[in-house]
Amino acid sequence: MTGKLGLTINTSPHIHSQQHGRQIMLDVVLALSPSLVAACGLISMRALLLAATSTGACVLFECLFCKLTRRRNTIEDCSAVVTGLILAFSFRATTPLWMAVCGAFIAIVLVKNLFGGLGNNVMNPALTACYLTLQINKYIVSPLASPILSAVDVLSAATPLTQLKAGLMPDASLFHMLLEKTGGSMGEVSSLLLLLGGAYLVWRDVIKLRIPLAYCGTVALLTLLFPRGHAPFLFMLYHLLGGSVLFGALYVATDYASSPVTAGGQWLYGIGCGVATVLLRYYGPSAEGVTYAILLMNLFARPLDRLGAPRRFGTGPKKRAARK
Amino acid sequence: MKKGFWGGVHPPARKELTQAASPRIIPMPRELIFPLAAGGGAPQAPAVHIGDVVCIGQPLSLEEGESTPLHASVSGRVVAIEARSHPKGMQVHSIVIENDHQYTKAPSIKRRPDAAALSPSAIYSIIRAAGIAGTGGAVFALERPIDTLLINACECEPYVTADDSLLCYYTEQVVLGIELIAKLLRPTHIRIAIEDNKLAAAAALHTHVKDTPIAIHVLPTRYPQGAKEQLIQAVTGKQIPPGSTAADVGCAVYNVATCASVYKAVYAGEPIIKRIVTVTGGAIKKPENFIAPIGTPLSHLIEAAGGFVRAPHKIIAGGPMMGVAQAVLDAPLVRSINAVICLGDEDRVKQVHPVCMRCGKCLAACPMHLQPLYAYRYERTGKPYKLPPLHLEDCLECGCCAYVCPGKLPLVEIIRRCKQTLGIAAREVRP
Repeated sequence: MTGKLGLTINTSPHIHSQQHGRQIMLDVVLALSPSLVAACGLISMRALLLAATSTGACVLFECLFCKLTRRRNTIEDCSAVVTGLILAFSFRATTPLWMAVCGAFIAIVLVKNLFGGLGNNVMNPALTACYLTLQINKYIVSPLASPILSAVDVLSAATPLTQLKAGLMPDASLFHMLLEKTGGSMGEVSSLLLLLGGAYLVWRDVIKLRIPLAYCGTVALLTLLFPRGHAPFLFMLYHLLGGSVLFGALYVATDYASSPVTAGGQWLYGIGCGVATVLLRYYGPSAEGVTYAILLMNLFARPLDRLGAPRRFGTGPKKRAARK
Repeated sequence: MKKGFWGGVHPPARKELTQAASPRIIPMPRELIFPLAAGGGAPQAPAVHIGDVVCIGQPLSLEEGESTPLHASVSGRVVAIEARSHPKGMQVHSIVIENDHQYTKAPSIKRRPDAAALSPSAIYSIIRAAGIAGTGGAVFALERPIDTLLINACECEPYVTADDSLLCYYTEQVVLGIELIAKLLRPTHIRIAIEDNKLAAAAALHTHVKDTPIAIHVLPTRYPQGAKEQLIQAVTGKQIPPGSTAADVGCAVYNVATCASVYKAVYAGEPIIKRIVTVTGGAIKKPENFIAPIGTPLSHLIEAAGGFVRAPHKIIAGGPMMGVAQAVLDAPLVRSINAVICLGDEDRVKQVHPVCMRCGKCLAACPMHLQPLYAYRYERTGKPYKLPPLHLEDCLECGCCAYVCPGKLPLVEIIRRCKQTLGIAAREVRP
C-alpha cells in the first residue's frame, strides 16, 4: 500500500532478513554439487546425464502442472531443481532415463503439487518417487520388458550392507567407504563430500543439526550396542558409512515440509528415523532401511510437532539465574 | 555461554550512522502539535482554550484517573484544538501551539535544592504530576517491595541510538534518576542491562556507578533483548508466567530515558517536554541524534537532518522492527517515539508472492516460544478453533518471525488478525 508521498505502508517489521526461499534452494544445490562431481568422476559421466534429466523433468512437470491448473508458475523458487537433484541422487548411475522422468512426475505432480505445493507435502517427494519408481519397474515394467533379466535392485551386488547383514565384515575398507563408495546410489559416493555439503548447509542456516545428529547418533548408538559380529566400533562405522544414512540424514530427512518444525519434534523424528533404519536393516527384508524409515517417519512429522511443541513462556521449571 | 533467552534475531544494527556525536538541540519548529490521546484511547480533556498563551511546562490536559497529563514544550499561543495526524496513523484530537520563540518557562520549573532529601511520597507525586509513566505500562507505586530494579539500557532495535547517546553524554542524569526510583521502590538489587554494542555507554556508566550499589550487566546483542520478558529472563533467569506482570517475579523494569525524566522532574521541576530522537536511515542526508521538543512535526525533524538524499521508500516512527510506517509527515513527535527512520529503496522486500515453506525459522526465532507458522496455516485454512492453544496472547509483536521468514510472509500482520478474531487486545507498543 502506498500513501500520498509514494511511501510504502504496511505493518512492522520494516526490515527483513536477506535470506530468500530461492537462495535456500540454491544453497542445497551448491551443497550437493561436489557429490555430483564425485559421482561423475568415480562412476561415470552418465551421472550428470541422469541428474540433468531428472532436474529438467521436474521443472517441466511443475511448469505443466501450473499451466494446466491455471496457477502462477512456481518454478522460480527452484524447489523443483532441488527435488530433481535429490531424486537423481537416490538412483544408481546406471538407472534408465525413463525412470528419472517417471520419478519426476510422481515427485512433483503427485507428492508435492497435488498436496498443495511448496511447504505442504506430507512425504518427501524425491524419496517417495524413487521408491515408487523402483517398485513400478520391478513389478510392472521389467517383467513385461525382459522377464529373464532381474529388475534394477538395490541389492543386486554384494554390497557392504548385505555383507554386514549376513554377519560378515565388508571387503571394502573404511577409507573406500568414506571417499569412493561406488556400489550404491549416486548420492552415497563420497561420504566426505556429503558431510562437507551438510556442514555448508548448517553454516548457511538452511538445516539445523538436530535431525542429522539425532538420526546418525541413534544409528551409531544402536549399532554400537547391538552389533552383529566381533568388532562393535568397526561395525558401527560401516553402518554409518554404508548405505545412504548420511545422505538421508542430511538431505532427505531434513526436507522442510515433511519434517517437524519444533525442536522437540525434530529430536524425536531423528531418533525415530534412526531406530527404524536399524530395525529394518537388521530384521527387514532388504539390507537397506533408510528409505522406508524416512517415509515412515514422514507420516509422524506433524504429530511429533505437537508432541515436541515448545513449552509456553513462563510455565517452565524455575531456572538458575543466568548471572549473579 | 548461556544464551539468556530462546530465539531472537540479529538484524544489521546500522548504529554507526548516528553513534559518534553528541545529540544536538534542534532548530525550533514554528508549530507544535500535542495529541490528547495516546493513539487509540479516549482523548483527555484539554486544560486550555484557543487563543490562550501558554508557557513551557504548563499542563495542557486535565489529569483524570490513571492518565498522565500532557505539558507544553514551548511557549506560545494555542491556535487550534482539532484532529491532527498521530504517528500511529489515526487522526487524534490535538492541541496546536504556535511557537512565539520566547521560551518562557512556567514558574514550577526551577531547581530543587532539597531534591536529594525528598521523601518517597513527595517524589511519587512529582513524578505523577510531571506526566512520567514507565514504559510498557510500568507504574512507580508498588504495594510490595521488589527484588530487582532493572534498568533497560539495551536499545535493541537497529538504527536507534537515542538511549546510547543519553548514556554517553548525560550519564549523571540517568544515574541520579535511578537512585530516585530506587528510593521509591526499595529494591534489594539494582541492575542496569546494556547490550555489548554500546561499550562507550557502558564505560560511561561504570565511572558513574562506581561507589553505588548499582551493578552493570553487559548482555550479548540480540533483538529483542530490551523487551521486558527477555530482559528479565536474561538477567535474573526468571520467565514471567502467563497473565502475570514483572512485579510478580520481583522485578520492575524502567528505560534509561524514563530515569532521566525522573531526574529532571525532581531536581529541575521539569515535566517531559523534550527528548532525544534519532533521525536516521539510508535516505537521510545527515543522520543524527537531536534533542527535540515534544510536539515537533516529523517533517521538521527530517529537515533538520538535512532532508532526503534519495527518495525514501518508507518512513518509520520508532524502530524498524516495531515502529509504525508513516503515510504523511505532519504527525508530531510524541514522548514514546525514539527514532524517525527513512529507509531507501535498498531495504525494500523484493519477493512479491509470500509462501510458507515449513522451514520452522519463525519458531526458532520467536522469543515467546510461539509457533507463528501454525497461526498462519490455521488462519489460512479457516480453522480459528485451532488458534487458542497457540497462546497468541503471549505474542509481543516484536517482528522476529516476519524478519526471519524466507518466504516473506507478513507474520505479524497475520498474528494481529488472529488476535482480532480471538478478541485479544493488541500488545502495547513499547517505545
